[in-house]
Amino acid sequence: MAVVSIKNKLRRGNLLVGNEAFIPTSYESIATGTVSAGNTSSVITFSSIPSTYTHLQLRMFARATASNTMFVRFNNDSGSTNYDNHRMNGNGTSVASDARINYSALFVSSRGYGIPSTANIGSAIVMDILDYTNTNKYKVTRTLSGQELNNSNSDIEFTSGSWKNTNAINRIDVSIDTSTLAQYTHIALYGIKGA
Amino acid sequence: MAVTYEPIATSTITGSTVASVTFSSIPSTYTDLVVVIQAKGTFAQDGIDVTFIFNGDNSGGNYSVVYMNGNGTTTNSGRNSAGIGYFSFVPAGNNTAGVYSANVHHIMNYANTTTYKTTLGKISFPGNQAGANVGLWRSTAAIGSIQLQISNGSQGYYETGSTLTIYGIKAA
Repeated sequence: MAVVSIKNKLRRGNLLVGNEAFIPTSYESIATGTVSAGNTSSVITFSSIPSTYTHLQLRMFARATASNTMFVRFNNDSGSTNYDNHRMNGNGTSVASDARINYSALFVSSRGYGIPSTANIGSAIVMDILDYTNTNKYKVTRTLSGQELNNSNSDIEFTSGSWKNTNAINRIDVSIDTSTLAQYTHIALYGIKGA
Repeated sequence: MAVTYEPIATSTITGSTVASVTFSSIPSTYTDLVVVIQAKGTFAQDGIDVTFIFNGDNSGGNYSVVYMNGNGTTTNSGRNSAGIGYFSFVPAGNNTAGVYSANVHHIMNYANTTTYKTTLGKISFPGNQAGANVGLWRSTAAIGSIQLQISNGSQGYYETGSTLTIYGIKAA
């Protein structure tokens, strides 16, 4: 199981000439998980996520060894009724919508096809996780995802998700249902600060 | 602290005969690129494509896109695999003055030299449609230039005031 630790931040004791310019940022890279050439991974995990941001964003280029649905879970919660999903998608022929209510994960995939295993091609995914530390709200996600395979298995999707838990998110697991993440998969976690 | 999300270049259209904007010498030091298109065309029709041409590759066989959109009445989905990168769609000359697009395109892992390049687009065309698309450039080359073409010269130009910006996002 691939585990990604949070990168240590470099702390400088002062702003003397010669040090890097201090540029306050609101969009920061937290950690990255990759599957290198020749390898596979059953899951990419981001743990010990700091609570100092307002929102999180996952940016993914994902491939699977066998095409199937991507699952995203928070705080190691795989309870069978703890997530809701609503999706609309276009497959080049028609637009459709479906839902998975009281499900065991947030899902990201092509309807009926899944994260691709085709050589050289992957799914592109941007998932926004809003107000992830708020202990009064369920956690809501907004995802834009798709893969273009130059055939009828191509798909573009909007997905709205909910983790029905008020705990702050401190861990995210990304996996493929009954399959593994394939080489060249790249998943990056970013934090966005509020004012 | 290194900046994670930073602007690389912006082009603001001030002339009246600009049909294409090219961002070249794109550094390979980022992870993803984000292209923001707030634009309009001058051609006398409702909307017009802004095509993406990567690294000067204008071979029609190397690009494909699948899209979906809704116009307030109906939804639609289609594919285009016969042309260059028809990844964006903006208002054109038949629209009210001041109506420009608010389109955002993500280009994931643009510098990776082992995979084809996948883009995700969000289309916001005021008064006409909302939509999204996923595009593919079938090349493993790192993207070093992006040409955003509103016309090949026969369908008008970018409207004055159109802005096109490229941002770089750098992962840890």
